[in-house]
Amino acid sequence: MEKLNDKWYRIIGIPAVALVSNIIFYYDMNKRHGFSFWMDYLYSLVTAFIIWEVNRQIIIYTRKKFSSYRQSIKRIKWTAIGIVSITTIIVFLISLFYDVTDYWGYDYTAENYLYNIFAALTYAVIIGGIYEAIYYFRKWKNIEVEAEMLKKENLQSQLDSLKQQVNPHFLFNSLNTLSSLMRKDVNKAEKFLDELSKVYRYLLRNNEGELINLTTELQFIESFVHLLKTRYGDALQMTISVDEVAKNLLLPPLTLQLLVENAVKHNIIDKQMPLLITLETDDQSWLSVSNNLQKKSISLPSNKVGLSNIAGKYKLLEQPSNYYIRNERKIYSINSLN
Amino acid sequence: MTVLIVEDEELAVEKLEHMVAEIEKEAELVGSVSSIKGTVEWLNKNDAPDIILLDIELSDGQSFEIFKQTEVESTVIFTTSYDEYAIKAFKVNSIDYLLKPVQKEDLKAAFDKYKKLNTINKPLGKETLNIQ
Repeated sequence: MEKLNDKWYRIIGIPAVALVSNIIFYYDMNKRHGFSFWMDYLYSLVTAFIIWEVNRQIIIYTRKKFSSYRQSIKRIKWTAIGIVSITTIIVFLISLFYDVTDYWGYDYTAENYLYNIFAALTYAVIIGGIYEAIYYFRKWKNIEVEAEMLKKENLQSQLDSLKQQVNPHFLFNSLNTLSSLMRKDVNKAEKFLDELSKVYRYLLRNNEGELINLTTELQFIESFVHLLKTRYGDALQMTISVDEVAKNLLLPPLTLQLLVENAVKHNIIDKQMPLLITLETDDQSWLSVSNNLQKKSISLPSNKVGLSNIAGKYKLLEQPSNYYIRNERKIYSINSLN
Repeated sequence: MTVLIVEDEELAVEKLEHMVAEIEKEAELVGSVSSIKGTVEWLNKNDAPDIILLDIELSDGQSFEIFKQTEVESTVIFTTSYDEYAIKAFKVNSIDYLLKPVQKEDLKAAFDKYKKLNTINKPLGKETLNIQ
């Protein structure tokens, strides 16, 4: 909890309150016992000090207990109850003391008691209200700032994931290929451009993460692979064998793309050592992407975000996903949803 | 002026060959290779070319590996679609860093830079010899 920064509030507030209450509430009474003004002021000052400090402790306590903005109503309620009851008790005791000792030289009536309590409560409630108002306003402002920050963070993460999907490396490599094709083979260039726009339309549209059926994702994968095949020629080979039954299964969009891209990123793709990627389903509706393992000599600066991203998505969907190496092949398999 | 192209995508190689021929009459293409392994072998077997047009992402890894495996005496012009390696590229004897798709003007500027640096350096080299 932040410290109660009310030093000047108290230094000025307590004498001021004592002075004002002296003038408003006790002007007539003071005349009756004929003390000097400063003597009367001293009594008021001491009383005001006691009430202020005790109530301040109540405020500190309730703020600690109900510190958040959401607990404001509880906090205000308990502060009010605390201030009213404690102030009443204090003033009652002080009045009792004056009454019993016959301090001012006259009897204390029930009216006197009530009057003192009423005066002190007026003061305590106003001061307590000011404390709470300041606190409440600060909390409210903080909430505004936090909400703004959250909004910004959210936007940033959306932008990051978008950037990730648009993948500038892939885009510029593809544009480079396109630029070569245009000189060499206009028909191929046209086809390449068509597939490139299909790929990007899909990438941009399916950022949001709703599930998609396998047929749609496969159409996209075919376009994606067409681009890769045009770039790498025979150095890259892709086999797709998906059971008809499996085609209506659902999966998070771009899952297969990420797996294919991963294989391309981390493995040697060379005419002498072609990379063979296989995408297939089995009879238990497991969908797997596998490739022959021929890792690049130095591992690329990989943040492993890709695979853990998929694993995370599948965990959320409460579906199994597996990753293993068998017979010199790296296999990633996921269980599709019905 | 001899030029070696190091690039793992066939179409990109053709594009570069075509572009080099078009903008630099003096350029003589001496070969093209697609991998770290292939480049190291080529450099060990042949005379160092004047210029290597060097892609960063090769079929078997990043081309920075080449500099660890063999002495590269040629001037290097990087060609890549990745701009995050520019700083690393400074550390080897490169004179330019071209982003793909490579623009004609950029490649021409890189060749001009090579020629300029070479005419400054050559007489200096002779003088140094004379003093010795």
